[in-house]
Amino acid sequence: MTRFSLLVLPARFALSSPRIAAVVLLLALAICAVSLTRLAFEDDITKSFASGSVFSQEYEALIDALPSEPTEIIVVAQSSTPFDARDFATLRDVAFELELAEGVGSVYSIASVRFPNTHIAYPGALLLPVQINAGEVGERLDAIQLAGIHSPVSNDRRSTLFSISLDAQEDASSRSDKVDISPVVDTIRNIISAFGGQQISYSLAGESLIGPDMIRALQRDLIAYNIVGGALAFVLALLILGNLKLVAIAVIPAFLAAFVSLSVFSVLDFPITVLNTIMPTLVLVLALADSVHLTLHLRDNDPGNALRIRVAKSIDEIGPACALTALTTSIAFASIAFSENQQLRDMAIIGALSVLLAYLVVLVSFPLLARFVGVSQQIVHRRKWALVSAGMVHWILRKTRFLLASGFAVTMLAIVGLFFLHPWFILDENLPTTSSVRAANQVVAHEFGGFYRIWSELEYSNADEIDTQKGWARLVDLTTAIENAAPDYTVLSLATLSRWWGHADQPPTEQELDELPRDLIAQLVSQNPASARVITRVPEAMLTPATLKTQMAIETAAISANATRTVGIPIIIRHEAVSIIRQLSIGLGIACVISVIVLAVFYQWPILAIVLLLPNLLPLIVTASSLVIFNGGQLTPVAMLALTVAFGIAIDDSIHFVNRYIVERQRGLGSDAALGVSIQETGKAMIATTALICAGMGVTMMSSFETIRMFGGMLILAFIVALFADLLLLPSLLRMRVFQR
Amino acid sequence: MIRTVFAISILAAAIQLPDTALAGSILERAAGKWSGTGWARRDANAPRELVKCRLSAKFVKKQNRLSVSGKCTGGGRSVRLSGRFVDEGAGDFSGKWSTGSRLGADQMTGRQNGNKIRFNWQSRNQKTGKVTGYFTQWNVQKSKLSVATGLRDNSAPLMVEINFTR
Repeated sequence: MTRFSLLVLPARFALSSPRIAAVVLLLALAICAVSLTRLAFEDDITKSFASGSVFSQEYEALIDALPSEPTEIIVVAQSSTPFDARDFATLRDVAFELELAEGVGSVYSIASVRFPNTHIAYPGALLLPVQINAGEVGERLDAIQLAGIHSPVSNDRRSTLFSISLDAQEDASSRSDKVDISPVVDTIRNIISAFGGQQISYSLAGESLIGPDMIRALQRDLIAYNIVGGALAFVLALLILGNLKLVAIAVIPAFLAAFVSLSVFSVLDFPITVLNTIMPTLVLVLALADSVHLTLHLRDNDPGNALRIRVAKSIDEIGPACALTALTTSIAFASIAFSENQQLRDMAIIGALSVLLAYLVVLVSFPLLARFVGVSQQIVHRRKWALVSAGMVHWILRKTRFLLASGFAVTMLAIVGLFFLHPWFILDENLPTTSSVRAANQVVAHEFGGFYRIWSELEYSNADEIDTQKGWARLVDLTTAIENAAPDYTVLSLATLSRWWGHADQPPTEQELDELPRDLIAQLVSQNPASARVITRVPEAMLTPATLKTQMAIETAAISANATRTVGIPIIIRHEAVSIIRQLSIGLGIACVISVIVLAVFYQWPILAIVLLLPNLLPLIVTASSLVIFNGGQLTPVAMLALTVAFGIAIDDSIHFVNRYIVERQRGLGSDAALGVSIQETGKAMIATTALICAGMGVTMMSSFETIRMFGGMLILAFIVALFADLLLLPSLLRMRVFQR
Repeated sequence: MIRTVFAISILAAAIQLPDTALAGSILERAAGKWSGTGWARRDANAPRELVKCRLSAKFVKKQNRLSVSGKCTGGGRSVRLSGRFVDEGAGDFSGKWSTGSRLGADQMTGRQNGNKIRFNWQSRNQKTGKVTGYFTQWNVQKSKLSVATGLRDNSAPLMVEINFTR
C-alpha cells in the first residue's frame, strides 16, 4: 500500500463496503444531530481578548477580591436641543425611577451630583434644585465644571448619562456562576421606554450589555450564513457542473461536513463566538471545493468505463490532494493555538478538527453518493469549462520571466505596505454595527470619557497605614499623578472624596463613607490585603490614537507614583491585543514552514518547499498590506486570524496543481507538457473552486459584525491573489531549471 | 445621621393610621404597597431635597406585627429599608428598623393620639458620640398619609416630610 492510497483509505472502504460505510456515516451524523441540542453562544466579552497573562490574572484577582462583581449599566439620554427646565425635571424623574427599581443598587446621574461642602456658592447642594429653573441649572452646571467635578451632562447639554450599579447578586452559588442580569435590564428598558419617545431619547450602554447584544447578532448571522451560503453553493455548483445529479454529489458532502463542523462545537462544549461563528460556512466552502474537484474529475474522466472504476480513479487521483489540503488547512488552524487566548485556542481545535472531519465526510460520502445517484454516460461532457484556453496556457509558459519579475515586483511593493501596519484592537467592533448599545457606547466614550474602569492599586502593610500621614500622602500623590496624566477623565479615590468633603489632607470618616454605596467603597479600599485604589473612567484603549496615548500615560503615571499595579479591561485589551497578534504571527510563520515541509516530504521533492513558499506568501503579503488602504493600517487579531486561515486554504490550489503536475510527469510527460495539462485541467477546477469559496465567503458581507466582514473580505482577496499566483507564478517557478523535478 | 432620620421616617410612614371610625388594627390596615413623594434635609439647616419611596408592608395577625421593606431615594442616595412594628396594645407601639446590614441599629416607641401618632427615637453621632432625640409624626387622612420628622426639642425646622399613597 503506497502513501497515496493510505490517504484515500476511507473512500476506498466506502467504495468496497458501501452498506457498512453508509451505516457508520449515518450513525455519526445522528450523534452530531443529538449533540446540537447543547449548542451555546459566548456572551462574556472579556474572553474575546483575555488569556492567562499577568494582566488577565491581576484583573481576575481584583474582581475576586471584591465582595461582588461590579456590574454596571449605562443609560444615555439624548435630545436634539439643549435640555430645558422641563427636560431636567424629567431626567430627575427617570433617575428616581431607576434608583427605586428592583435589583438596582445605586445610580450616578444628574440627580445625584452634588457640590462640595466647601463650594462658595452652593456648599453641599445638589446640582438640581427642588424647583428647577433652566437658567439656574445652567449656572450650576457652569459652577460645577469650574469646581473641577465631571458632571454627567455633555458640554452641549444635549446628552446625559445614568450610571447604574446593580445590587450585589447573592443567588449565584459561586463567583464563577454567571449572574443573570436580564431581569434588571428588562426593568430598566421598561422605565426608559415609558419616559422615551418625546423630546428625549434613551439607549443602553455598558460592558454588561455587549455580551447579550453580541449573542443576538451571532444567532442571526449563523442562520443567515447557513441559509444563504447553502443556497449560493447550490446555485454555483449547478452553474459549474451543469447537472442536478452532479450537483447532489458535490453539494451534499459539503453540507454534511458543515453540519459535522457545527456539532464539533457542542461535542467539545465550546461556545459560538464572534471569531468562530464563521467556521461551519468556512468548512462548507472548503468541503465543497474538494468535492467539486472530485466531481469534475468524475465527470470528465474516461466516460466509457464503468461508474465504479471511474469513481475509484477520481478518488485515487484527486483524493490524495484533498487529504493534503485538509492536512495543511488543519496545520494552519492548529497554528492558531500558539496564542495564549482561550477563544483562539478553542478556534484552533475546532478548525483543525472540523477540516479533518470534513475531509473524512467528503471522502466517504462522495463514492456513496456517486454510486447511489448514478452518473450515467448520458450526463457527462454536457458542459465543458473553457476558462483556461490552450492559448492562455501557451502564453503562461512563454512569459515565464515576465511573470516571475512581475510576481517579485508585486511582492516587494506589498512588503513596503507591511511597514505601515500597526497592531490594533477595538472591543466595540465585536458588536454589530447596527447595535444600539454600540452607538450608546460611542456617545459615552466621546461625551463622558468612557465607562471602562482602570484601577490603580496601592498596597499598604496594614489597614491602618492609609490613615497615617505618610500613607494618606501616597494615595493623594497617586491620585494627583493620574489626574495630571488624564485631565479629561473622571478619577475617583478616597483622596478625591476627601477633597470633595473639604478635608483633602485627611482620609474620609467612617460616617462619610457610610453615606456612599458599599460596592463603590469596596472598589476603593480593601482591608485584607490592605490596599487603596484609584479608579479612572476611560474609553476603550484603542478607540483612537489619542485615547491610547492617554491610557499609556495613566499607566506610566500610576507606576511612577508607586502604584503596585494597574488593572482593568482597557489594560488587558491594550496589552493582550498586541500579544495575540504577535502569537498569531509566529503561528502563521510556523504553519507556513510545516505545511511546505509536509508537502515536500510527502511528494519526496525537497525543493518543492521553496517553490511553494513564494506563490503562497504573496497572497498573504498583498492581503496584509491592503489593510493600509482598507483599515488605516490597523492589524487586528481578526485580520491576523484571516491571514492564517487564508494561508491554509490558499495553499490548497497549489497542492492540487502540484499533484496534477506530478501525476502527469509520472505518466511520462515532459515538464512543459505536464505544466500545460495541469494549467488547463487543474486550472479550471481552481477557478471554479475559487469562485465557489469567494461566493461562499461573500455571505460574510451580510454580517452585522464589521470584524466578520473584514475577515471575509480579506479571505476573498487572498484567494483571488492565490489563484493568480498558482496559475501564473507557480508554473513559472516550476519551469525554472533549479526547481524542476 | 440623615440616613437614620430618613429610614425611621419612612418606616413609620408605612403604618397607615385609621380614621377613628375605621375598625381593625392600625397595623393590619397598613399592609400593602405604598408609593411616597416628599422632601428631606441632609441636616437640620440644609435645604430641602426631593425624595421618593416604595414600600411593601405585610401584617402577621397572630403577633400583631407589621413587617415593612422597601427602598427610598433622594439626593443621590438610595436606602434599602426593612423593619418590624408591633402593636403592644393600649395605643402603644414598638419597632425596630434597619438599613442594609445594620439590622436593629435603632429602636423606636410610639403613642397613638386620634388620627395622629408620634414615634420617639434617638440616634448617636458616630463621629462626636452625641445623642440626639427625634420624633416622627403622622397625620392620616382618609386616602393619604403625611409624615413629618424633626428634632424632639423643636430647635430646628422639620427634617423630613413625605406623602404616601397606595
